[in-house]
Amino acid sequence: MFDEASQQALMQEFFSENREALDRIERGLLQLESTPNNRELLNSIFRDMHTVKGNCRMMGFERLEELTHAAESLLDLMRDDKLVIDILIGNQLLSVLDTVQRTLQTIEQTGSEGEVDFSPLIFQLERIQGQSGADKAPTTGGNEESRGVVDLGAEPSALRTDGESAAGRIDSIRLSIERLDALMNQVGELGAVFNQLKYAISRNPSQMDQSLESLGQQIQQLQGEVLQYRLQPIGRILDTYHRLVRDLAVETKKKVVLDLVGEETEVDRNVLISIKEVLGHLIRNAVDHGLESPEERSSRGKSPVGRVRLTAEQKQGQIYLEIADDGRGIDVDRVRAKAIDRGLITSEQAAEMREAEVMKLIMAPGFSTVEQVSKISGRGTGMDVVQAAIDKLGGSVTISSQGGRGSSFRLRIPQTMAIVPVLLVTACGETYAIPQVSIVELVSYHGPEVSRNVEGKMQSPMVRVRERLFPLVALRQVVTSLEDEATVTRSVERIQAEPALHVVVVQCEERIFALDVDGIKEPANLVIKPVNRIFADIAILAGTAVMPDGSVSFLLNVPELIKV
Amino acid sequence: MDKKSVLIVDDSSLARMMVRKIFATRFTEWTLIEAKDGEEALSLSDGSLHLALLDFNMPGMNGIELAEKLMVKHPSLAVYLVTANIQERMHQRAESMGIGFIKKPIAESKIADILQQVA
Repeated sequence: MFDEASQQALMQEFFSENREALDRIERGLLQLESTPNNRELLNSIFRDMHTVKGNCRMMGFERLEELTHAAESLLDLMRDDKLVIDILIGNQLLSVLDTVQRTLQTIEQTGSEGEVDFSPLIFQLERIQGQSGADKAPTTGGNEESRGVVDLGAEPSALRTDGESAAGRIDSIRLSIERLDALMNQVGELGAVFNQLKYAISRNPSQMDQSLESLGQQIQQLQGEVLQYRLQPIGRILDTYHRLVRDLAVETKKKVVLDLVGEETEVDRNVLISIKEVLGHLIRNAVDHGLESPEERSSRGKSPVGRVRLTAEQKQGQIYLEIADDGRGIDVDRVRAKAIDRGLITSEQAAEMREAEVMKLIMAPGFSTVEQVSKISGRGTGMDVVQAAIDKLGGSVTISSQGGRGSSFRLRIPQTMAIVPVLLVTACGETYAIPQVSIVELVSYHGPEVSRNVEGKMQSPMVRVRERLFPLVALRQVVTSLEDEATVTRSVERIQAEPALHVVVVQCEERIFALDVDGIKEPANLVIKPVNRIFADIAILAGTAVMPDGSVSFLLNVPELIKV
Repeated sequence: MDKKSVLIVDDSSLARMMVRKIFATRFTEWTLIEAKDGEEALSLSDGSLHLALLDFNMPGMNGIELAEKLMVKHPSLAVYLVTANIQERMHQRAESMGIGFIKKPIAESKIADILQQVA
């Protein structure tokens, strides 16, 4: 392809660049053995090995390419934390360097790689890779990573299934024998405490309380342990969205970058499964409706490449997920007009609504009546599906938007659904559970305090807590049927005349209100089950739990209470 | 006709030399701008660029990160990643940004195809 002089110049460059890189790798490896956590060093070793491999390929030295490729794959596993350098690995890599150096000399003298057999060395490298516990690394074709690697020459269809299966595998978990042993130990202790209790009951009643208490502790520990195992990094589902965004970008002829932040955030397996589709929906919405075309973006002085950022973080038992785009933002006036048009609100209501409330209408059933049949998810759904799924998880959605700058959907969902810390309260003789996370504080007023702190504001009762007035919502009114409502509804004057008033101040997003309950019982950790089908349509109930006495109590859905 | 310019970014000097030689022998109507990493590429790029050929694995920012910055700076620039094989999510990420691919090792015929597309 080139003349003699060019070819010679290329070979010169081949030798000198490779030797420099090999020298650096050697120094780096020696240093890495004493500082195995030096990421920067590891990255630069990897890059140098990558360069050497690329150079060998470029100049047609296929066997050297194969050898350096195997070494590069090994380094890649180290970058992925699947392997840590030790003396054995260090020695193998150093002998790769020696072999490459020697072969370069041979090439310099004879023009070819010579007859030395690299396969024993390659075999050794692959054996170490196999021991790393990583998925069986492909011996050829891998490069940037040992898994999920695409050969650009391959058929596009071949690379699709691969990523799906790797990232979508959330129906099983791996547990180390050590953790299993720890569980076994705990179960053993549980048995021992149970025997103590049995003994106490039959022979030594004075020990009963103590035995019961340690039994409770054991169970709680076991619960905590098992819950831990259910938690999985959210990154396992986030990976699949790269594919989604790519397909959407091609379909809509937009240019999109998807940023993922907080992939290590841990979420309960069940929650993970439920939010997978929700997030996909929101991402689709962001690309479809949020982002402008590259031309429109350029004409507005924005980057032609739109950005969708998915952030996951965990705070106090809650998972916060945000899908933000830098697109055109939500046109509040258009949403308002469309909602009136669809009959969701009247124009009088629309005039009174705040922007945040108007934006929430996007998620209302019936807002997007046009079936948006998507090639990606394969069926048509409006944004109300998102709201419904989040409600079911006991979470909430906040929408914000800036015209021309983009919009963001912020979801809050409980990290785990199985056990929820709650406060038990009573109303109309039934016990209800309020999630601790939504409780601000508890206040009880007695005697004359009641009338001092309750007042009416436009016919609605309000209660004063620490110099602030909050709307007072009576739980008994919320939970009774319509026909009985008249008997339980109490005027401001009636409430003021009560001998005592117990309120639970609850908060949902930015709204705070006081829940008037008949009695405040104790806090508890409840194992929450989904609501029975008969009650499934009752939005204010988020789940059920069996109480110690065998009765059933309901977990209240605080965001829904506010709507009532 | 004005000369068109192409930006080559690769941390391997051999790789850059290879592309330089190919352009110097076959596509003499193109002016080459070379950079060894993303930072240098950004400082050298200007509005006269038509095409950018980027390595993926480089010190500092990788090829996709660089592509994004270049596309912001020069919206009409055609950007290609030169790579043998790439992690699937990176591949999808690049495609969703409208970045093309040239399979390594780079060769005259592959460059000819690209030049035809951007011409």
